[in-house]
Amino acid sequence: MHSFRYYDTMLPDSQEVTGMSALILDVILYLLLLAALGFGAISVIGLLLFPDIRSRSFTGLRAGILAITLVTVAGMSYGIYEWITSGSIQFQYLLYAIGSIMMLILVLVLNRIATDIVCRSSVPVFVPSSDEEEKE
Amino acid sequence: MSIDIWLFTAIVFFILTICAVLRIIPGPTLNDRLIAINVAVTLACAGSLALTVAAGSLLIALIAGLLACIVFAITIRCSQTHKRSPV
Repeated sequence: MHSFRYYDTMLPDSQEVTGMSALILDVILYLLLLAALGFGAISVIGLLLFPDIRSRSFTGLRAGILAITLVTVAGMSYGIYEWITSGSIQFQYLLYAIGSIMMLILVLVLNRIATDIVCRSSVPVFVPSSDEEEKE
Repeated sequence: MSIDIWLFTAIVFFILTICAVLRIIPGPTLNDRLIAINVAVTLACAGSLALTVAAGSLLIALIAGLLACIVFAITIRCSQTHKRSPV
């Protein structure tokens, strides 16, 4: 298995970047990814525990979107950092950053639409008519 | 021994996805299953983003995005069909 992280995809003349900035990036990535795992776990726990469909969909949607957002932010930070430090000639890092943003937007929009339709079809929203409002 | 945090994240996300997929089985209604499918797809997309870095291949994210589009489209279609059908 090879990884972007192990620099075996770098060009022969490029230098491996080490030092404080790489350490800070690693710490940020660890924090973001662990937070993403936490929100993912909350999403599944909410899906398994909550009784009604609205609370389940609310927890699953929000926590799941937060999890994928944190992974995307981590991927973007990593991709842009590697792209800049590799001399802006390795476009796979930039492509990864752009692709992760596009996937986040896609999942966010489609998940929102799908969950909204499912919730409305399962529990119709009651809108009081004007006569009932006048009686009250 | 160092842990590849991206691979670890991807594995945990796929385990969570399996948990969400297992929630599809009990149901009991179609909408419960569709919500579980939505959560499973969201978590699988997050796992695929992490796996893309761990494996070093952009193809994984592309395939995951396409599959997510297809599954969300099927979910929306199923939900609308279920809404129109008489109870």
